[in-house]
Amino acid sequence: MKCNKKFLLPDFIQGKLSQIESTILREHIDKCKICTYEYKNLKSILNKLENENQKEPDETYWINLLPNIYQKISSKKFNYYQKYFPQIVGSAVILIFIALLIVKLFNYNWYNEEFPKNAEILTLLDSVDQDGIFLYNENNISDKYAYNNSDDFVLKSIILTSNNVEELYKENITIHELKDEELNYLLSYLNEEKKYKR
Amino acid sequence: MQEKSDFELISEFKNGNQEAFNLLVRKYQKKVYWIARKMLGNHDDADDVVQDVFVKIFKSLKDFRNESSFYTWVYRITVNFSISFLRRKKMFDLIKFDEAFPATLKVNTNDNPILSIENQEMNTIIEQAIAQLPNKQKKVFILRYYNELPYEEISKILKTSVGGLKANYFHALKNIKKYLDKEL
Repeated sequence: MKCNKKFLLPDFIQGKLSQIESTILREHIDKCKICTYEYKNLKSILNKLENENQKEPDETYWINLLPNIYQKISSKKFNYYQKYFPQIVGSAVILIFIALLIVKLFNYNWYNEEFPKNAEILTLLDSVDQDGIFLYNENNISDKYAYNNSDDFVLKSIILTSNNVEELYKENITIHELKDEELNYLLSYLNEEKKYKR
Repeated sequence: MQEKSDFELISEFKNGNQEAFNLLVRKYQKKVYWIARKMLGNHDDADDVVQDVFVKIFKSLKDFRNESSFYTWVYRITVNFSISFLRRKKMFDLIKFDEAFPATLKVNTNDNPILSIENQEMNTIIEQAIAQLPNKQKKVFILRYYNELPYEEISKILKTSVGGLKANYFHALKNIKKYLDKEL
């Protein structure tokens, strides 16, 4: 059984209810077993709390408080930061290290599982030439240059001139932007290059 | 001479009168101290928090808009700072394995030299009983019991409904009783 009037009991005992509220609640307590029980409980604890007698800090404390506050304002530093600075820095370094480790592991697995073809291309690209390769197309003067850029692949447009390769970085495309047929083409191209390297 | 209102003192401080801040400190120092003291259970920690609260007020008072009353704002800062202090302390107590009990439960024997040993023990147990309350109950209990704030004010400070506060206060008292029955 529940009775929400019990929440008024502390105020009733401490005399914080109006006279009308007190009279109504008094009548209710006489009838309600829950409130009678809770009333006795609360009355005993509030009596004990009333006997609690704590000494105020002495007058010197209050006199010094304001100068201490100004001292803290001028130092612009909180004591606990100074006090616990080594622990805070130590904990932060450990947390950052763990977070980086988790992110690295998570990304690696996620990447390989979600994009197996991309992962294969990047591995092939590294094994063929770590500096990157030209994807030469005989039919087009404009060509592409591919290289592995910290776990991702960048494709850049270049223009081939007669003897020199002039790189005009008109566009950068990451591996995620390639269509499936382009990925297939790249994969076969790199496999061919790998055979040639051998 | 009539005492200046909080509003007047804040305006004066915003206009560069630092003495107005001093008056606000003098006016609220004991109220802030006792909230912190009851929440933290000892003088030293309460002193730390009291200073931090007034440093915060000093730095933020220029931006204080009179949307809520000044003392509601002050109480809210004090309660939040005390809870943060407790959390930090618990965290560092976990790091420092040599401390068997949280600092909040330590007995400062210098606090009450005049009181009898029995009274000191009783006070310590009551402080422990308050310290073990869930945070929400602890905040409500201190603001209601020790600071005797109306529920409507506490509601503004803790952003909780009055009904919820009454229930929290009731359960706080019951939990204190349970603790005292066990310890005494």
